[in-house]
Amino acid sequence: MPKKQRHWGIFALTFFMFFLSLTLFGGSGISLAVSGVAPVLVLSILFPFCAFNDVTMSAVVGFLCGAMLDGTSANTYCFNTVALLVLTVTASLLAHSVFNRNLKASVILCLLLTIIYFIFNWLLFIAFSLNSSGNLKYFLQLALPSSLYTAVLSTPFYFIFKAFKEKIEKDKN
Amino acid sequence: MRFFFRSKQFKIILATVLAFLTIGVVCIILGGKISPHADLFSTISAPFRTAFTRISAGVEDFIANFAEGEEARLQNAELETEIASLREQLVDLEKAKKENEFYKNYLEIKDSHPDFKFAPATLISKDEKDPFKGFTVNAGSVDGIEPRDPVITEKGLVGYISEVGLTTSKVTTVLDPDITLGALDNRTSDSGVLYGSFENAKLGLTGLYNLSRSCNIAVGDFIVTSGEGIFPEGLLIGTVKSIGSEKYNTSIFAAIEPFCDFDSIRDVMIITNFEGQGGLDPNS
Repeated sequence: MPKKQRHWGIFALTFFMFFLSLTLFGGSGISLAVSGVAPVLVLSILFPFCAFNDVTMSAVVGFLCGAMLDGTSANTYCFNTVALLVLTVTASLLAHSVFNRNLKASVILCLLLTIIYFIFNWLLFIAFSLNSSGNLKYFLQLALPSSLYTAVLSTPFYFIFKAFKEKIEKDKN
Repeated sequence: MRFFFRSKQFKIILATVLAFLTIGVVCIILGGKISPHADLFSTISAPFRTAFTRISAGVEDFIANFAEGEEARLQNAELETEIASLREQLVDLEKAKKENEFYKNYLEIKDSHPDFKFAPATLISKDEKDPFKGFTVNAGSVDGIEPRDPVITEKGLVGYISEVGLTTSKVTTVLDPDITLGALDNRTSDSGVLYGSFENAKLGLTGLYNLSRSCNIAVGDFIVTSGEGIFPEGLLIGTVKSIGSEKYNTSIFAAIEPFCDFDSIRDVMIITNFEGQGGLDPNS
Protein backbone atom coordinates (compact mmCIF):
# COMPACT_ATOMS: atom_id res chain seq x y z
CA MET A 1 0.00 0.00 0.00
CA PRO A 2 2.76 2.54 0.84
CA LYS A 3 4.33 1.85 -2.61
CA LYS A 4 1.03 2.68 -4.36
CA GLN A 5 0.73 5.98 -2.45
CA ARG A 6 4.19 7.03 -3.65
CA HIS A 7 3.20 6.34 -7.25
CA TRP A 8 -0.01 8.31 -6.82
CA GLY A 9 2.07 11.13 -5.40
CA ILE A 10 4.32 11.09 -8.45
CA PHE A 11 1.26 11.02 -10.71
CA ALA A 12 -0.29 13.96 -8.84
CA LEU A 13 2.93 15.99 -9.00
CA THR A 14 3.31 15.29 -12.71
CA PHE A 15 -0.32 16.24 -13.37
CA PHE A 16 0.11 19.41 -11.29
CA MET A 17 3.22 20.43 -13.29
CA PHE A 18 1.43 20.00 -16.62
CA PHE A 19 -1.70 21.72 -15.30
CA LEU A 20 0.23 24.77 -14.09
CA SER A 21 2.25 24.98 -17.31
CA LEU A 22 -0.98 25.06 -19.34
CA THR A 23 -3.00 27.41 -17.12
CA LEU A 24 -0.89 29.59 -14.80
CA PHE A 25 2.09 29.93 -17.12
CA GLY A 26 0.17 29.42 -20.36
CA GLY A 27 -0.51 33.11 -20.92
CA SER A 28 -3.10 33.48 -18.17
CA GLY A 29 -0.88 34.59 -15.37
CA ILE A 30 2.86 34.63 -14.94
CA SER A 31 4.87 35.24 -18.08
CA LEU A 32 8.35 33.74 -18.41
CA ALA A 33 9.16 35.91 -21.42
CA VAL A 34 12.58 37.59 -21.55
CA SER A 35 12.95 40.46 -24.03
CA GLY A 36 9.84 39.34 -25.85
CA VAL A 37 11.00 35.70 -26.16
CA ALA A 38 8.76 33.24 -24.35
CA PRO A 39 9.43 29.53 -23.87
CA VAL A 40 6.84 26.87 -24.65
CA LEU A 41 6.84 25.62 -21.07
CA VAL A 42 4.62 22.63 -21.76
CA LEU A 43 7.23 21.32 -24.24
CA SER A 44 9.99 21.87 -21.65
CA ILE A 45 8.10 19.49 -19.37
CA LEU A 46 6.75 17.14 -22.04
CA PHE A 47 9.96 16.03 -23.75
CA PRO A 48 11.86 15.08 -20.56
CA PHE A 49 8.67 13.27 -19.47
CA CYS A 50 8.67 11.28 -22.73
CA ALA A 51 12.34 10.35 -22.28
CA PHE A 52 11.47 8.45 -19.10
CA ASN A 53 8.10 7.00 -20.07
CA ASP A 54 6.91 4.50 -22.65
CA VAL A 55 5.41 5.37 -26.03
CA THR A 56 1.77 4.83 -25.00
CA MET A 57 1.95 7.09 -21.94
CA SER A 58 3.86 9.71 -23.94
CA ALA A 59 1.23 9.61 -26.71
CA VAL A 60 -1.66 10.01 -24.25
CA VAL A 61 -0.05 12.89 -22.38
CA GLY A 62 1.02 14.54 -25.64
CA PHE A 63 -2.53 14.28 -26.96
CA LEU A 64 -4.04 15.82 -23.81
CA CYS A 65 -1.50 18.68 -23.70
CA GLY A 66 -2.04 19.35 -27.40
CA ALA A 67 -5.80 19.49 -26.93
CA MET A 68 -5.38 21.99 -24.09
CA LEU A 69 -3.02 24.11 -26.21
CA ASP A 70 -5.53 24.09 -29.08
CA GLY A 71 -8.11 25.50 -26.68
CA THR A 72 -5.92 28.46 -25.82
CA SER A 73 -3.89 29.13 -28.97
CA ALA A 74 -5.11 31.34 -31.78
CA ASN A 75 -6.24 29.77 -35.06
CA THR A 76 -4.66 26.34 -34.69
CA TYR A 77 -7.41 23.91 -35.86
CA CYS A 78 -6.15 20.74 -34.10
CA PHE A 79 -2.52 21.48 -35.03
CA ASN A 80 -1.23 21.19 -31.46
CA THR A 81 -3.15 17.95 -30.84
CA VAL A 82 -1.63 16.28 -33.89
CA ALA A 83 1.83 17.87 -33.55
CA LEU A 84 2.29 17.03 -29.87
CA LEU A 85 0.97 13.50 -30.38
CA VAL A 86 3.53 12.90 -33.15
CA LEU A 87 6.39 14.72 -31.39
CA THR A 88 5.91 12.96 -28.04
CA VAL A 89 5.85 9.55 -29.72
CA THR A 90 9.00 10.53 -31.63
CA ALA A 91 10.66 11.80 -28.44
CA SER A 92 9.88 8.59 -26.57
CA LEU A 93 11.10 6.36 -29.42
CA LEU A 94 14.31 8.34 -29.93
CA ALA A 95 15.06 8.55 -26.20
CA HIS A 96 14.65 4.79 -25.79
CA SER A 97 16.28 3.63 -29.04
CA VAL A 98 18.72 6.21 -30.34
CA PHE A 99 19.77 8.64 -27.65
CA ASN A 100 21.22 7.95 -24.23
CA ARG A 101 18.98 9.25 -21.49
CA ASN A 102 21.49 11.75 -20.22
CA LEU A 103 21.04 15.48 -19.72
CA LYS A 104 22.86 16.53 -22.88
CA ALA A 105 20.81 14.19 -25.08
CA SER A 106 17.58 15.32 -23.40
CA VAL A 107 18.30 19.01 -23.98
CA ILE A 108 19.34 18.43 -27.61
CA LEU A 109 16.25 16.29 -28.23
CA CYS A 110 14.04 19.02 -26.71
CA LEU A 111 15.74 21.68 -28.86
CA LEU A 112 15.39 19.69 -32.10
CA LEU A 113 11.76 18.74 -31.54
CA THR A 114 10.80 22.29 -30.48
CA ILE A 115 12.39 23.64 -33.67
CA ILE A 116 10.40 21.08 -35.68
CA TYR A 117 7.25 22.20 -33.83
CA PHE A 118 7.91 25.84 -34.75
CA ILE A 119 8.69 24.91 -38.36
CA PHE A 120 5.35 23.13 -38.76
CA ASN A 121 3.53 25.97 -36.99
CA TRP A 122 5.19 28.47 -39.31
CA LEU A 123 4.52 26.41 -42.44
CA LEU A 124 0.82 26.00 -41.71
CA PHE A 125 -0.16 29.34 -40.19
CA ILE A 126 2.44 32.02 -40.79
CA ALA A 127 4.56 31.36 -43.89
CA PHE A 128 2.02 32.59 -46.44
CA SER A 129 0.93 35.62 -44.42
CA LEU A 130 4.34 37.25 -44.28
CA ASN A 131 6.88 38.41 -46.83
CA SER A 132 10.40 36.93 -46.96
CA SER A 133 11.77 39.53 -44.56
CA GLY A 134 8.97 38.83 -42.07
CA ASN A 135 9.52 35.07 -42.32
CA LEU A 136 13.25 35.41 -41.69
CA LYS A 137 12.62 37.68 -38.72
CA TYR A 138 10.04 35.22 -37.38
CA PHE A 139 12.69 32.50 -37.30
CA LEU A 140 15.57 34.59 -36.03
CA GLN A 141 13.68 36.68 -33.51
CA LEU A 142 10.99 34.32 -32.30
CA ALA A 143 11.27 30.64 -33.26
CA LEU A 144 14.97 29.99 -32.64
CA PRO A 145 15.32 32.00 -29.40
CA SER A 146 12.10 30.48 -28.09
CA SER A 147 13.33 26.97 -28.94
CA LEU A 148 16.64 27.58 -27.15
CA TYR A 149 14.86 28.98 -24.11
CA THR A 150 12.48 25.97 -24.10
CA ALA A 151 15.40 23.52 -24.28
CA VAL A 152 17.31 25.24 -21.46
CA LEU A 153 14.17 25.30 -19.32
CA SER A 154 13.79 21.52 -19.75
CA THR A 155 16.91 20.92 -17.62
CA PRO A 156 15.27 20.93 -14.17
CA PHE A 157 12.41 18.78 -15.44
CA TYR A 158 14.91 16.20 -16.73
CA PHE A 159 16.19 15.78 -13.15
CA ILE A 160 12.67 15.69 -11.74
CA PHE A 161 11.45 12.94 -14.08
CA LYS A 162 14.72 11.06 -13.70
CA ALA A 163 14.20 11.06 -9.92
CA PHE A 164 10.59 9.89 -10.38
CA LYS A 165 11.72 7.07 -12.67
CA GLU A 166 14.42 5.95 -10.24
CA LYS A 167 11.91 5.90 -7.38
CA ILE A 168 9.44 3.82 -9.37
CA GLU A 169 12.20 1.39 -10.43
CA LYS A 170 13.39 1.15 -6.81
CA ASP A 171 9.86 0.36 -5.62
CA LYS A 172 9.49 -2.37 -8.25
CA ASN A 173 12.67 -4.00 -7.01
CA MET B 1 12.15 0.65 -32.98
CA ARG B 2 11.14 -1.07 -36.22
CA PHE B 3 8.89 -3.41 -34.27
CA PHE B 4 6.99 -0.36 -33.05
CA PHE B 5 5.97 0.50 -36.63
CA ARG B 6 4.39 -2.93 -37.02
CA SER B 7 2.67 -2.86 -33.65
CA LYS B 8 -0.97 -2.23 -32.79
CA GLN B 9 0.08 0.88 -30.82
CA PHE B 10 1.44 2.52 -33.97
CA LYS B 11 -1.76 1.80 -35.89
CA ILE B 12 -3.87 3.35 -33.11
CA ILE B 13 -1.65 6.44 -32.99
CA LEU B 14 -1.74 6.73 -36.80
CA ALA B 15 -5.54 6.43 -36.83
CA THR B 16 -5.79 9.12 -34.11
CA VAL B 17 -3.51 11.47 -36.08
CA LEU B 18 -5.54 10.98 -39.27
CA ALA B 19 -8.82 11.47 -37.40
CA PHE B 20 -7.71 14.75 -35.89
CA LEU B 21 -6.20 15.94 -39.16
CA THR B 22 -9.65 15.37 -40.69
CA ILE B 23 -11.31 17.28 -37.83
CA GLY B 24 -8.83 20.11 -38.34
CA VAL B 25 -9.56 20.30 -42.07
CA VAL B 26 -13.32 20.28 -41.39
CA CYS B 27 -12.89 23.12 -38.86
CA ILE B 28 -10.94 25.15 -41.42
CA ILE B 29 -13.61 24.59 -44.10
CA LEU B 30 -16.48 25.43 -41.74
CA GLY B 31 -14.54 28.37 -40.32
CA GLY B 32 -15.10 30.18 -37.03
CA LYS B 33 -15.49 27.14 -34.78
CA ILE B 34 -13.06 25.76 -32.23
CA SER B 35 -12.56 22.00 -32.72
CA PRO B 36 -14.77 19.94 -30.37
CA HIS B 37 -12.02 18.38 -28.26
CA ALA B 38 -10.23 21.73 -27.81
CA ASP B 39 -13.56 23.34 -26.91
CA LEU B 40 -14.11 20.68 -24.23
CA PHE B 41 -10.70 21.25 -22.63
CA SER B 42 -11.02 24.99 -23.00
CA THR B 43 -14.43 24.97 -21.26
CA ILE B 44 -13.16 22.78 -18.41
CA SER B 45 -10.03 24.85 -17.84
CA ALA B 46 -11.64 28.29 -18.37
CA PRO B 47 -12.52 28.83 -14.66
CA PHE B 48 -8.94 28.03 -13.61
CA ARG B 49 -7.46 30.32 -16.26
CA THR B 50 -9.85 33.10 -15.26
CA ALA B 51 -8.83 32.69 -11.61
CA PHE B 52 -5.12 32.71 -12.45
CA THR B 53 -5.56 35.78 -14.65
CA ARG B 54 -7.29 37.65 -11.82
CA ILE B 55 -4.62 36.63 -9.31
CA SER B 56 -1.77 37.70 -11.57
CA ALA B 57 -3.57 40.96 -12.44
CA GLY B 58 -3.89 41.68 -8.72
CA VAL B 59 -0.21 40.97 -8.15
CA GLU B 60 0.76 43.12 -11.13
CA ASP B 61 -1.34 46.03 -9.80
CA PHE B 62 0.18 45.67 -6.34
CA ILE B 63 3.72 45.75 -7.75
CA ALA B 64 2.87 48.62 -10.10
CA ASN B 65 1.59 50.76 -7.24
CA PHE B 66 4.83 50.55 -5.34
CA ALA B 67 7.56 49.84 -7.84
CA GLU B 68 6.31 51.77 -10.84
CA GLY B 69 4.73 54.79 -9.18
CA GLU B 70 7.09 57.27 -10.81
CA GLU B 71 6.59 55.75 -14.27
CA ALA B 72 2.80 55.84 -13.77
CA ARG B 73 2.93 59.53 -12.79
CA LEU B 74 4.94 60.42 -15.91
CA GLN B 75 2.62 58.37 -18.09
CA ASN B 76 -0.37 60.07 -16.50
CA ALA B 77 1.06 63.49 -17.28
CA GLU B 78 1.63 62.48 -20.93
CA LEU B 79 -1.92 61.16 -21.21
CA GLU B 80 -3.36 64.37 -19.82
CA THR B 81 -1.46 66.33 -22.47
CA GLU B 82 -2.74 63.95 -25.14
CA ILE B 83 -6.31 64.34 -23.88
CA ALA B 84 -6.01 68.11 -24.10
CA SER B 85 -4.71 67.83 -27.68
CA LEU B 86 -7.55 65.46 -28.60
CA ARG B 87 -10.15 67.90 -27.28
CA GLU B 88 -8.66 70.63 -29.50
CA GLN B 89 -8.92 68.37 -32.53
CA LEU B 90 -12.50 67.46 -31.71
CA VAL B 91 -13.62 71.09 -31.77
CA ASP B 92 -12.44 71.32 -35.42
CA LEU B 93 -14.50 68.42 -36.76
CA GLU B 94 -17.23 69.47 -39.19
CA LYS B 95 -19.72 66.66 -39.14
CA ALA B 96 -21.25 65.25 -35.92
CA LYS B 97 -21.00 61.76 -37.46
CA LYS B 98 -17.15 62.05 -37.75
CA GLU B 99 -16.74 63.38 -34.22
CA ASN B 100 -14.71 60.81 -32.28
CA GLU B 101 -13.56 61.29 -28.82
CA PHE B 102 -11.37 59.27 -26.66
CA TYR B 103 -13.74 56.67 -25.24
CA LYS B 104 -13.93 56.88 -21.49
CA ASN B 105 -16.56 54.18 -21.02
CA TYR B 106 -19.01 52.12 -23.04
CA LEU B 107 -21.99 54.29 -22.20
CA GLU B 108 -20.57 56.99 -24.47
CA ILE B 109 -20.13 54.48 -27.30
CA LYS B 110 -23.72 53.34 -26.77
CA ASP B 111 -24.98 56.95 -26.92
CA SER B 112 -23.21 57.46 -30.25
CA HIS B 113 -24.30 54.08 -31.60
CA PRO B 114 -27.64 53.14 -30.03
CA ASP B 115 -27.90 50.15 -32.39
CA PHE B 116 -24.82 48.44 -30.78
CA LYS B 117 -25.41 45.42 -28.58
CA PHE B 118 -22.50 44.41 -26.35
CA ALA B 119 -21.38 41.31 -24.52
CA PRO B 120 -18.64 41.78 -21.91
CA ALA B 121 -15.73 39.36 -21.76
CA THR B 122 -12.45 38.94 -19.90
CA LEU B 123 -9.13 37.73 -21.25
CA ILE B 124 -8.35 34.31 -19.77
CA SER B 125 -5.25 33.31 -21.73
CA LYS B 126 -2.83 34.66 -24.25
CA ASP B 127 -0.94 32.66 -26.85
CA GLU B 128 2.66 33.57 -26.04
CA LYS B 129 3.83 31.87 -29.25
CA ASP B 130 1.64 34.18 -31.33
CA PRO B 131 3.64 37.25 -32.44
CA PHE B 132 0.33 39.01 -33.25
CA LYS B 133 -0.92 38.82 -29.63
CA GLY B 134 -4.09 36.83 -30.14
CA PHE B 135 -5.88 35.79 -26.97
CA THR B 136 -8.84 33.85 -25.57
CA VAL B 137 -11.83 35.35 -23.76
CA ASN B 138 -14.39 33.77 -21.45
CA ALA B 139 -17.45 34.30 -23.65
CA GLY B 140 -18.71 31.88 -26.24
CA SER B 141 -21.77 30.77 -28.17
CA VAL B 142 -23.84 30.50 -24.97
CA ASP B 143 -23.33 34.28 -24.54
CA GLY B 144 -24.50 35.04 -28.07
CA ILE B 145 -21.00 35.44 -29.53
CA GLU B 146 -20.60 34.61 -33.21
CA PRO B 147 -17.56 34.47 -35.48
CA ARG B 148 -16.46 37.85 -36.91
CA ASP B 149 -18.02 39.87 -34.07
CA PRO B 150 -15.89 43.00 -33.51
CA VAL B 151 -14.01 43.29 -30.20
CA ILE B 152 -13.32 46.67 -28.58
CA THR B 153 -12.17 48.21 -25.32
CA GLU B 154 -12.94 51.68 -24.04
CA LYS B 155 -9.73 52.81 -25.80
CA GLY B 156 -10.51 51.47 -29.26
CA LEU B 157 -10.70 48.51 -31.62
CA VAL B 158 -8.96 45.30 -30.56
CA GLY B 159 -9.84 42.94 -33.40
CA TYR B 160 -12.53 40.37 -34.08
CA ILE B 161 -13.70 36.97 -32.90
CA SER B 162 -12.02 34.37 -35.12
CA GLU B 163 -13.18 31.16 -33.43
CA VAL B 164 -16.12 30.52 -31.11
CA GLY B 165 -16.48 27.69 -28.61
CA LEU B 166 -19.17 26.97 -26.11
CA THR B 167 -17.87 29.23 -23.33
CA THR B 168 -14.66 30.63 -24.80
CA SER B 169 -13.70 32.45 -27.97
CA LYS B 170 -10.46 33.38 -29.67
CA VAL B 171 -9.68 36.95 -30.67
CA THR B 172 -7.53 37.92 -33.66
CA THR B 173 -6.07 41.38 -33.13
CA VAL B 174 -5.50 44.24 -35.58
CA LEU B 175 -1.76 43.38 -35.48
CA ASP B 176 -2.45 40.16 -37.41
CA PRO B 177 -1.68 40.09 -41.18
CA ASP B 178 -4.73 37.85 -41.67
CA ILE B 179 -7.06 40.70 -40.71
CA THR B 180 -7.88 43.21 -43.44
CA LEU B 181 -10.25 46.05 -42.70
CA GLY B 182 -11.21 49.32 -44.32
CA ALA B 183 -9.95 52.30 -42.34
CA LEU B 184 -9.70 56.02 -42.86
CA ASP B 185 -8.04 59.08 -41.46
CA ASN B 186 -10.55 60.83 -39.22
CA ARG B 187 -9.23 64.30 -40.18
CA THR B 188 -8.71 63.98 -43.94
CA SER B 189 -11.02 61.03 -44.77
CA ASP B 190 -8.18 59.38 -46.72
CA SER B 191 -8.99 55.69 -46.84
CA GLY B 192 -6.82 52.61 -47.00
CA VAL B 193 -6.65 48.96 -45.99
CA LEU B 194 -5.40 48.09 -42.54
CA TYR B 195 -3.51 44.86 -41.79
CA GLY B 196 -0.51 43.76 -39.79
CA SER B 197 2.96 42.43 -40.45
CA PHE B 198 5.54 40.60 -38.32
CA GLU B 199 7.91 43.57 -38.24
CA ASN B 200 5.16 45.96 -37.17
CA ALA B 201 3.71 43.50 -34.65
CA LYS B 202 7.08 43.25 -32.86
CA LEU B 203 6.84 47.01 -32.29
CA GLY B 204 3.17 46.83 -31.31
CA LEU B 205 2.09 48.55 -34.55
CA THR B 206 -0.14 47.75 -37.49
CA GLY B 207 -0.16 49.22 -40.99
CA LEU B 208 -2.52 51.24 -43.19
CA TYR B 209 -1.77 50.52 -46.83
CA ASN B 210 -2.91 51.53 -50.32
CA LEU B 211 -2.98 55.22 -49.45
CA SER B 212 -2.92 57.54 -52.41
CA ARG B 213 0.24 59.61 -52.91
CA SER B 214 -1.91 62.72 -52.96
CA CYS B 215 -3.40 62.06 -49.51
CA ASN B 216 -2.88 64.49 -46.65
CA ILE B 217 -2.38 62.00 -43.85
CA ALA B 218 -0.03 63.22 -41.13
CA VAL B 219 1.68 61.81 -38.06
CA GLY B 220 -0.65 62.01 -35.08
CA ASP B 221 -3.88 61.67 -37.08
CA PHE B 222 -6.54 59.35 -35.72
CA ILE B 223 -7.47 56.28 -37.76
CA VAL B 224 -11.01 54.93 -37.54
CA THR B 225 -12.94 52.10 -39.19
CA SER B 226 -14.61 53.07 -42.44
CA GLY B 227 -17.63 50.78 -42.04
CA GLU B 228 -16.58 48.42 -44.85
CA GLY B 229 -16.35 44.75 -43.98
CA ILE B 230 -17.42 43.37 -40.64
CA PHE B 231 -16.61 46.42 -38.50
CA PRO B 232 -19.07 49.26 -37.90
CA GLU B 233 -18.11 52.75 -38.94
CA GLY B 234 -16.30 55.11 -36.62
CA LEU B 235 -14.47 52.81 -34.21
CA LEU B 236 -11.15 54.26 -33.08
CA ILE B 237 -8.17 52.16 -34.09
CA GLY B 238 -5.03 54.18 -33.34
CA THR B 239 -2.79 57.07 -34.34
CA VAL B 240 -0.41 57.48 -37.26
CA LYS B 241 3.11 56.85 -35.99
CA SER B 242 5.04 57.21 -39.24
CA ILE B 243 4.49 57.40 -43.02
CA GLY B 244 6.48 55.65 -45.73
CA SER B 245 6.47 54.70 -49.41
CA GLU B 246 5.70 51.23 -50.68
CA LYS B 247 8.61 49.58 -52.45
CA TYR B 248 6.86 48.10 -55.44
CA ASN B 249 4.02 50.48 -56.20
CA THR B 250 3.14 54.15 -56.10
CA SER B 251 1.03 54.13 -52.95
CA ILE B 252 2.18 55.07 -49.47
CA PHE B 253 1.58 53.39 -46.13
CA ALA B 254 1.31 54.52 -42.54
CA ALA B 255 2.40 52.71 -39.40
CA ILE B 256 -0.46 52.86 -36.92
CA GLU B 257 -0.05 52.63 -33.15
CA PRO B 258 -3.28 51.11 -31.78
CA PHE B 259 -4.85 52.82 -28.79
CA CYS B 260 -5.17 49.44 -27.11
CA ASP B 261 -2.16 48.12 -25.25
CA PHE B 262 -2.36 44.45 -26.16
CA ASP B 263 0.08 43.47 -23.41
CA SER B 264 -2.21 44.75 -20.66
CA ILE B 265 -5.69 44.04 -22.02
CA ARG B 266 -7.98 42.47 -19.45
CA ASP B 267 -11.63 43.32 -20.12
CA VAL B 268 -13.15 43.73 -23.57
CA MET B 269 -16.56 44.31 -25.10
CA ILE B 270 -17.78 42.22 -28.00
CA ILE B 271 -20.23 43.92 -30.36
CA THR B 272 -22.75 41.18 -30.99
CA ASN B 273 -25.17 43.23 -33.05
CA PHE B 274 -25.13 46.52 -34.94
CA GLU B 275 -26.87 48.08 -37.89
CA GLY B 276 -25.31 46.92 -41.13
CA GLN B 277 -23.69 43.83 -39.62
CA GLY B 278 -22.67 41.10 -42.03
CA GLY B 279 -19.89 42.38 -44.22
CA LEU B 280 -16.94 40.72 -45.97
CA ASP B 281 -14.77 38.18 -44.14
CA PRO B 282 -11.68 40.10 -42.94
CA ASN B 283 -9.54 37.15 -44.08
CA SER B 284 -10.63 37.55 -47.70
